[in-house]
Formats: sequence, C-alpha cells, structure tokens
Amino acid sequence: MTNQTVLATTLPVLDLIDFQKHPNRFLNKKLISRALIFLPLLLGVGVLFFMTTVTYGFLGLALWVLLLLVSLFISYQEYFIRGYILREHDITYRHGWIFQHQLTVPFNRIQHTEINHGPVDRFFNLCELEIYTAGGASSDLIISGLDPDDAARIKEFISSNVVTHD
Amino acid sequence: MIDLSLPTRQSKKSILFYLFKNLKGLALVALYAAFGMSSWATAGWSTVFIAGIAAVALIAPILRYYFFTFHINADELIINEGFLFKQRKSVPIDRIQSININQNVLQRLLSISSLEIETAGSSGKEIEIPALEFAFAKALKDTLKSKSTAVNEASLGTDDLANTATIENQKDVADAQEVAQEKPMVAKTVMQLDVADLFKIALTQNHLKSGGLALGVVVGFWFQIKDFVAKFIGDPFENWEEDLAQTAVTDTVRITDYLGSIVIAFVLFCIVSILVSFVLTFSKYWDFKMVHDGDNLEVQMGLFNRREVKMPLSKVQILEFHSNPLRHMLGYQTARIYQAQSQDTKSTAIEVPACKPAMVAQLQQLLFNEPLETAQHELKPNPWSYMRFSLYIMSLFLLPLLAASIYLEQLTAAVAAILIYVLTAYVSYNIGKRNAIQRGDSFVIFYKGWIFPTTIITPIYKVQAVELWRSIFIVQRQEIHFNLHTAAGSRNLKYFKEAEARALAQSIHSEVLLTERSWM
Repeated sequence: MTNQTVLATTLPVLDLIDFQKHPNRFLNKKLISRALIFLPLLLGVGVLFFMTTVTYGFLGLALWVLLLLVSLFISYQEYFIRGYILREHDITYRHGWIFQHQLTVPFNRIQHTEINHGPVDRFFNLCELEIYTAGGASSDLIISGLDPDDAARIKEFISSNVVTHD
Repeated sequence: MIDLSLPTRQSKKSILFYLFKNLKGLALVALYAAFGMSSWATAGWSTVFIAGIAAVALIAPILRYYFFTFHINADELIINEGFLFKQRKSVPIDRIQSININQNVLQRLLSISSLEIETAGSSGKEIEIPALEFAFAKALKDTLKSKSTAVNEASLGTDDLANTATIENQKDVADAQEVAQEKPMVAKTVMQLDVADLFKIALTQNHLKSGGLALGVVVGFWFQIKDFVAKFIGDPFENWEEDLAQTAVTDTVRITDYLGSIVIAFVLFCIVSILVSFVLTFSKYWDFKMVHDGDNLEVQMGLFNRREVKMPLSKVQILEFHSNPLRHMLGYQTARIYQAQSQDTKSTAIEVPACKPAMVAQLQQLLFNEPLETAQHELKPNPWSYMRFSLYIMSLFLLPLLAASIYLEQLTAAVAAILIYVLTAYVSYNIGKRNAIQRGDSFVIFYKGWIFPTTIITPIYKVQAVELWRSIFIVQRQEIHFNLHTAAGSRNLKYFKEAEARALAQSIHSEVLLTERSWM
C-alpha cells in the first residue's frame, strides 16, 4: 500500500460543466407522473362545472391548466439541472431548480449503498441509487432515475473504493 | 468481572417494578372507563372488563421476569424475552457504542437501575435491561466495556499477524496498548457543580421558555379535565364569556379598566416562570459530575431521575456553546456535546449547563485533543440578505395588518406594526452581522445568533459531507447557503458569497479526503 503525500492544493477543483445527465427516459417519467398526479384534480374542476356556474367552472379549469403547466415547467427545468459527477474519491450530486442543492460525499464517509427498483421505475427501465452515510439522513445521497446498468457500475465503483476503518 | 456465560435473570425486584408500571397504566384505563360510563346500568360489564385487565396486569410481571434472560455467548450479548411473543436480540460486543445507567424515581426507591446499550448506525437496535441491582448494573457495564476493548484489540492483533504489518497497523496497536496501559489510571473528575453553581444556572435560565412550558402544561391539563369538571360543576368560564360579551356590547373596552389585572397577571407569570426554571434546573442537574475515565467521558446528574451517560471520546462529533444575555453577564456558557448517532433515536447529547471561560478551553482540549488555534480564514455572510428575508416573512403578516389598521383608522395598531418592522430589521441585520464561519488548520467553527449566540466547533476530519444550496431567488445575487453534515447532525449558515463558499467547501472536502483518521 502506498501512501504518498498529496497536497490539498493539487487536488482538482470540481469542474461544474462535467455533470452527468440522467437518461431522457427520466424526463418522460417525471412529466408523465406529474400529469397523472394532476388528473384527480380535474374531477374537482368537473364538480365546479356542475355545482356552480359555468364561469366558476372555467375559472377552475384555467387554474388547473396553469398549475399543471407550472408544475410541468418546473419538472422540465429540474431535469437539466439534475446530474452527478463521479470522481476517484467522491461523488457530487446536483438537483433542484427552485431550491438548488449540491452535495459532495467523499467515499471514505460512505456506509453502504443500495439500488431500488420501484414498479414505475421498472416500467421506464430506470432505478434509484441510494448512498448512505452515518448518522442522520440529511447527508444521504439519493439519485433517482438512473439507467440500471449505470447504477450497478457506480455502486460497484463506490464499494471498491470505500475505505474501511477497522 | 462477572460470569455471564449462563442465562441470567434480572433482579427479583423487577417484578415489583413491572407491577408498578402496569398499575400506572391501569389507573388510566380505570379513569377512562369511569369517563366513558354513561349510567350505572352498563357498569357491570366495565367492571368485568377492568377486573380482567387487572388480573393480566398482576400476572404479567411475574411472567416477564421469568422469561427475561441475558447472557454472553461467543462475543455476543444475547437477550431473550417474551412469553407469547418470544424475542431474541443479540449485539456483537465490539459494536457497543455506549452504555448508560438510568434510574427514575421508582427505580431509585427500589434501588435498581436500567442499563441501556447503544449501537450506532442501525436504528432500533438499542437494548435496554430495565431492572438490575445497582451494583450488578455497574459490574455488568464494566464487564461489557472491558470485553469490548479486549475483542477490539484481539482483532487488531490477528490483523497484524495475518497481513504483512503496515506501519499504520502497528501504530494502531501501539495506540491501543497505550490506551490499555492508561486504563487503570484513576478517573479524573473534570467538573462538578455545587448548589451555588446550580443557583446561578437556574437564575440565568431562559425564563420565557420555562414560563411558556408551564403555561403549555396548564392549558393542556385543563383541556384534558375540562369535560370532567364541566360534568360536575358546570362550565366556570360560561359567565365570564357572557360578561365579556356584555361589556363589548354596552361600551367600548377601555384598556385602563384591565390594567390592574394585566399587571398582576404579568407579575404572576414572571414569578411562576422563575420558579419553574429553578425546579427544572435543580431536578435535572443536581449533583452534576463529569468524569474523564481513560478514553471515555462519564456524566452523572439528576435529583429524582438519575442519569448516567458514558460517551467514548472518539465518538464526539460536535461541541457547541450556547449563551443568553443573563448568562453572559455571569460569564457562563452552556456546552453541548454531540456524538455520532442515528437520527431517529432520542438524542444522546450531553449538556453541560455552565462552563467558565477556562472550562471552555479545557473541554475543547479534552474532547478533540488539540487546542483551538486562531482562525486563518473567515467567511462573512451578507447581513442585508438576512434583513431582506425576515422582512419578506414579516410582510406576510404585517402588510395585511397595516392595511387593515389604516383602513379602520386604528393608528396605534399601525404604529405597532411599523415598530415591529423596524425591530425585525434591526435584529436580523445584527444576526447576519455576527454569523460567520471560521476555518482553522483542523477545525471549522460556526458563529450563529446574536442575542442567543451559539458557537459550533467541529474538527474537519469529522465532516461527512458539505452541501451548498440556495433558492432560485438569490442566484442573481451570487449568494449561497452552506450546510455541513456530520455523523451527529447538520449545521447550516446562510447567504455567503458563492465563490468564497465554494472555495471553503472544496478545501474542507480535500482535507476530509486526505485524512486517514477514523471519524466515529
């Protein structure tokens, strides 16, 4: 085992252009599931049409369309922000459009990793990679919407690099 | 050393302990039954029901005592419990993080104590042996502790033989031996609080908080017994509400009419708050003692409910100092020590109610084995951003209020709203001005708050991850929030210059990557 001195200044600075995008399927999944969430609300608009005047009905419909469009727009924007960078010793994840987060977890602080396939994810041939650190859930990294092969490769890479302290 | 190779039961007094616990529950059931009973006709059935529960409550403790055993088998502590639903818990001894001895009032009367065994990481794995003879609990704690170090050393030793010994390993073994040699050294009392100290602490508590607590308890209690009281003596507030309605109808309410009662209520509230502060402080911190024993920190405290916490020094992640204006005048600070733990378990943090400045430095030295060096690098947030944010939030409430009061020509309300605005702006600006992150060679220090200032110290090698985040509204201003995650929780400060924050995150991150030290 070699243990050469590495100066902090010689470590490369995170290049913000290098973020790996999620597959396009993930955008489709997000948009479709967002739209599906809004479907039941359409029932409420229908009720407005029948129970009150048509004006209120149209107002409700307009509000519904507006909310749907805003929600879809946010999902769409989020997709282009979301991404990860895998480096030799750490993983960085960026997500969120209104609330933008960027979290870097060094491999030597990772406790264990997990891959989850939900039914919806499976339909789109996607999966979720969960990276757990010790203590609270706040520094856990949950990367949803990865290609299963990629996720397996990342998981393998991380676990081969995790330093055990025992 | 006690022999635990065979399944051992708890103290026989545990039957009494369980019995008392069940009786407490039973009293509640009886109370609810009495409430629920509408007439004496249905009383027969509820009596039978209660008698049935009572019989179970009496027999269950004996069964529980009989079927609760614990023993050590092949470096694992094994606990068997349960009669109908059998449960077997096992904890590898080298996974034990900390062992606590707790005593509540009932346990003190019976002179038994409960032993709590914590394993970090996996949640729901905590083990409690509720009723042991006090001396036996102490002996068991020591046995487990010495066994766990023995196991750890043995595993290190075999590593050493099996692999070609790396320098790293040899150093670890040497460290372990050193620790083992230091072990027999007498435990050193780091600090102790006497009655005078407690008096000062009680006097400088946050009385508003205790007053609020007392008020909450009273109100909560009142809502619970309201129906019951109303059933027997009628609603005592019935007439009061009518009176109020009457006065509102007949003439406008003049504040001077109520001035006397308002002043009396205020004075009463102050006295009760201070009294509650005293009671809470004395019951919680009575006979507070902190002992440094080898590589563990032991803290004992409590008047009725005695609490004894053992925390391995290597598990300490964050050291915090809190203060308030009253405490600041006496030169005291409150310290909180956080250790690595899973989030969903109850907090295992140690609180040291009063530290003098000398003590602050000593605690720092003790916990992290390094003195606090002067900071090389300081990050200041933008105080105007703090002010802007709190003004936005206040506007949600105050703008409607302002509009309404001007519309209704209630100028006093308008003036009050404007005053609250100015006060908010002033306080939040000052908070923003004091907030800062300092980074030394081996520590990150957060300064937070203004009237209630907090100092948060964590060694850089204990950091787990750094997060930068912001809302889309401050992208334009090139500002960003800084979030530091450790195994004992996250600490957050807001509105830093983006470039500076990124540079700091990068430098902390590199330091973490390069460190070989175990962080928990």
